[in-house]
Amino acid sequence: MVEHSRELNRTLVAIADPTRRVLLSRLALGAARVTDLAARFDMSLNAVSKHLRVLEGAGLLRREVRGREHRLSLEARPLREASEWIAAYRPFWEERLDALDAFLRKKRRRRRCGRRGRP
Amino acid sequence: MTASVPSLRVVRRLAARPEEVFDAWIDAESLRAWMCAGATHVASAEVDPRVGGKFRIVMRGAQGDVEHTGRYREIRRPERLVFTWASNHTGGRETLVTVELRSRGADTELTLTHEGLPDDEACRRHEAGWTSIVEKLAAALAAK
Repeated sequence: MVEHSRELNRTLVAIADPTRRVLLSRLALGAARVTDLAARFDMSLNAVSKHLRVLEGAGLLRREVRGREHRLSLEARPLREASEWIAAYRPFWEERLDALDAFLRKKRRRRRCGRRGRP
Repeated sequence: MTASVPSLRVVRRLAARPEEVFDAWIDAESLRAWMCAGATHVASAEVDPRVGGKFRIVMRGAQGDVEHTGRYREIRRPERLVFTWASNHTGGRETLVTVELRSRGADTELTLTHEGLPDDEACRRHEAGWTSIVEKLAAALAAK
């Protein structure tokens, strides 16, 4: 449970950065070389590598080494888990918004009793 | 698939004008009335509705008190309210909630987006936290 939560934290931190989200979106389309990613997003090799290491640490990347070439591909499982976690919040907000609706209706009824003809 | 931030979206049509809906979100007395109807009720609600201001809502239920805290990021009455949200349910993580309101005749269409995304500040803290843990570990190993 604690282990799961730690993994989730790493996923969330990894995807909190807009550059890393763009890199993930690119990798979602297919595997790429580090040099391709750097050229595509106009970043230094160093900067891209730093972001890729964070993604790798969060288990979001698979790295395949062929000679001197590193090919990267997306590992989507942690993203799925993160989505499931936030989806569990849906019933909470559904219930709160039902209550907000009831609260506003009660307020409106009370006001109607007081005066009429409001646009 | 696209690598989007995990998020959920709830859309609801409410029988009130956007101004009234907006105020119900930032007024402590209103929050106490609706934020925890049903099995739970709000034990206390404190709000400081300014950008950077904090809020704290304690919900009392069968399983005890749950504290929800956050900070207002954007307050644009009556169309947009953005705040961070953390509680036991989020594992103490800071998440981001955006409430958008659109006028629909005499009603309001509310769109709530909850993102499992630590905000920049939380993210920096996380990174600082990890860095200091790694540094401590390195120091402990070096001392051996």
